[in-house]
Amino acid sequence: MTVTERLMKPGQFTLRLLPETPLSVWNAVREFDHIMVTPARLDPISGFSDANIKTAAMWTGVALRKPSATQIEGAGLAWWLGSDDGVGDLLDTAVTGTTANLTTWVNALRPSSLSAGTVTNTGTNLTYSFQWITRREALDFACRAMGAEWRVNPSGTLDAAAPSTLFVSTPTAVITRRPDAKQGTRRGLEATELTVGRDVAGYTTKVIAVARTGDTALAPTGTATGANVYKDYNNNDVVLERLVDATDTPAGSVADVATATLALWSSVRRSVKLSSRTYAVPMHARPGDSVWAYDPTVGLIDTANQLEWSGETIAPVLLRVRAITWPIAKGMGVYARRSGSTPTYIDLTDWVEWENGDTVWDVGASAWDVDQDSSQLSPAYLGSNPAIEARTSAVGQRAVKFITSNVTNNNATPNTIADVTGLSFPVVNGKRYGFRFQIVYTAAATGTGSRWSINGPTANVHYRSEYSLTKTSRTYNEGLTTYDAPAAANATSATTGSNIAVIEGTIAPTADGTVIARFASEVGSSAVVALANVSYVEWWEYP
Amino acid sequence: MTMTLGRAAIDDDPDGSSLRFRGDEVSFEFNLGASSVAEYQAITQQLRGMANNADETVFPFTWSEDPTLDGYYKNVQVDVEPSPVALTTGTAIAKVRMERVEGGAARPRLEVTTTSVVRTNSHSIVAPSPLLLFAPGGTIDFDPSEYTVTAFGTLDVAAPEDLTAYEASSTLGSKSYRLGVPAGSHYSAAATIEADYGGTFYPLVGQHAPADFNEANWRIGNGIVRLSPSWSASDKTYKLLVESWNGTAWAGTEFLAVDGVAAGVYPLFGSSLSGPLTYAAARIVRNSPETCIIRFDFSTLVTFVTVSRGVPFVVVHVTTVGQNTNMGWNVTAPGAPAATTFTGGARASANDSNGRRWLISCPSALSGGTAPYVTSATTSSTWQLCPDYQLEITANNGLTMRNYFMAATSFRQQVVAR
Repeated sequence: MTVTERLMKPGQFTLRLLPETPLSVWNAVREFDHIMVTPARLDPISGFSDANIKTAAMWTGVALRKPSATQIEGAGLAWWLGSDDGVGDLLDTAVTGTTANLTTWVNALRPSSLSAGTVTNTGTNLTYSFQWITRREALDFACRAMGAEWRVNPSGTLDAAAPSTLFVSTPTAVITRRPDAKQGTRRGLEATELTVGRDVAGYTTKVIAVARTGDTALAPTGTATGANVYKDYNNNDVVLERLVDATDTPAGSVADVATATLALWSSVRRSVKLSSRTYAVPMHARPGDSVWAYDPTVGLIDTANQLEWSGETIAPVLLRVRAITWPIAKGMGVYARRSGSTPTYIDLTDWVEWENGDTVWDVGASAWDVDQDSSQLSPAYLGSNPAIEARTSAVGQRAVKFITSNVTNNNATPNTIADVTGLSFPVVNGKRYGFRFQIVYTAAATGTGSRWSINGPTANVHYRSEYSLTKTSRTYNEGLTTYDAPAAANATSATTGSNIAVIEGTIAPTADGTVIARFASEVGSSAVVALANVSYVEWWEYP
Repeated sequence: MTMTLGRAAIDDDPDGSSLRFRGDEVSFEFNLGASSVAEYQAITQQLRGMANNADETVFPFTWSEDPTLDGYYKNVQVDVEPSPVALTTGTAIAKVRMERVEGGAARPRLEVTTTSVVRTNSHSIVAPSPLLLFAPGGTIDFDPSEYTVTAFGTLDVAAPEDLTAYEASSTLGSKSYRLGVPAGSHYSAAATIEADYGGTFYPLVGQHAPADFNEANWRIGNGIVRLSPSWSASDKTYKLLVESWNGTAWAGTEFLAVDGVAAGVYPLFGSSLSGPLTYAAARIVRNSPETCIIRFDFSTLVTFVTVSRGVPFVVVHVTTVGQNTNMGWNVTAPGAPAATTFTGGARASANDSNGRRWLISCPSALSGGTAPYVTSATTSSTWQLCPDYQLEITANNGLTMRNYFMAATSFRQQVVAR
């Protein structure tokens, strides 16, 4: 059996059973059962509670495939956040946060299949709205925006925090070419293969990120330029510019995208191919943890670091573990857990085809590895379905909303403006909207006039309004750029039973909020009523 | 008629009828006729230690009868078949199969990679200190072009060892130098771990130490300086005896590990302070010509002693696992010569009765004067124990040796193709 664990990804596993495994054992394990591995066998498994086993487990995965009578395959617990091809508990209802901290976001994005773990806020908050993507994609984006990372534990809990808080940043594992040793709190791991690579194929000196297109203006761009230390064939500084298509990025963040992308590509990509002979490696290091690695014969040194190790002062390199592939070795315990009100366990240990291969490490020097794919800086790196996006977003689509209850203003004080409750639409900072309110209203008397306006968040707003005055004339207000305008009501209404007010315009909010219709009666205690089911607002988002 | 294979010196020839050549492969048998059972056991250890050796993959071979076979060999396999009376007579038949290294087995290139950092210290030493490079006696060519080297001051090396040391302007990071060394000089003044077999010390090969390799009967050295455990009846524990060669004999100073504040003794090797003598588990961590390291564990004390080729001091690293202590040393030199301190250490300011002086230094801030200990309790500390070679012509202040120690250097030697 081999397990591959990956940083902030589900990973995968293959469990092979012995050829003589009873068919009943294989049949007893069903899809969506959980395979759990402990460093030592818990025997008999029935003597341990579910909580004990979850605490003792060093790895847990989800059984997804049974390709043969002796094989079970699947992924790690992070699979419940969303698979690599976008299947999972999708955010079909928008999850929105305004200046929300990491705890709020993790609680909102965590699926019911995982339990709450330990979340430590980073001090950076996020205002965003996620929809039509997997929870994993949303969590990746939110964590990246707030300087955090997440981890699913073998017990099924979801933790999140800054990487230095969440993972081991001061290593206890020391990887060298020498046999394993333990010295104090540090553990030596012997490398059976240690190959160092350097790659500048993607080296970038300047990033140009292009955000979404404007109407007549050019699409906003952000640039970031790094230091240049290399020369081309003619001894000039190398020019390696990278164009990033950041269509999902607001104009205000495009410079940050350029800066973050440059940070990924502006240095030599160091890769280390590393294998070791280590039993139960998750007990010593997990994806996300940092390890020391030292081999001066291949240049794996960093004089900025110093460690007394096995009688020598070494200068190891600090490497981040991105993935580990390790064998299930004899001595461990392997169980299948069936969820239920009281979970049950099947002990598979006696039938496991043990492996004794090396542990293969995927380590690197980058603390912000996104598989070197700058598109993963976007909220949906799997790519939210463009057709769904077009049909569910307001861009180019007109949305209509009717009020379903009459709204009355009969304030005793004349000309006291109030909301037409329910006749509103949401707006988001940085976007642009067109709108048209059409309101059918009654007046207590034709001698009772009214005024009609709007309210909303801070914005660049331009609108006009018109509403009945007599049967042959209307009150027109042009050039309105502030809310609740005009200040005065008109003097009459065309009829008592059917008048129409229209308010229309364009708004570019500079804060999130709601645009709502407002009205006032010219005469104190003389009701003006906005009628349900015939009064509506229509709005649309401009690209 | 003698031959050497690795560190084993054999008073015999290959059996002529058994000598075979198959391309680069050489095989032969010989009669391992030792003068004693103890010698037989020591040589057997040296031969068997070449197999699965984590520290050396290439071994030198010399034969006084046919120097054309002298050179470096890899994939050395030695089968020792004891005679029925081997444990009485010390006789056995040994079968050897080995392969010449590429690029000229007689004089391949050795590449020594140094990795150097300035030890984190409390003495405001930030600039790189000089490195010490070595060239065994008999070196044919020496290419230190990646460094700027000057000849080191004269060091006495115990005959028949021979070595020239160089001081290199310290360059942090990794660099390497290359040299050509005849097979017969490969182990000249090399770092060596020796074990006592029947009263005689023999070099060990590999990491398989004898079963009684513990609080006594071993030493580690390089022909310039050597360290061995020394039982102290007065302190009821073992001290570390650090000796140097003055051209005539080995002599030196005993260092007792103590708690400088609590004034207690650290029984690095166990003690009889509170009952029967117990002893630590000693293990060979590394056994290569360029560096040898021994580790011994006793209770919560973990100690590493390191000797490197051409380096005239011993590095001792002590860890008190899980417990902060004010680790330090009391020094016992014959004749109790006067002593003085310097920044980062202490030294004898007069000769002892053997004409030697001692020196001790540490990167940490020290208290205790000439019985120094770390000022701030900690779980680990690293020390330089050595003679004071009085290298400073005018100052005599011990700083030269201290600065060599502050340039923490690890060595890796390998045979490379020309």
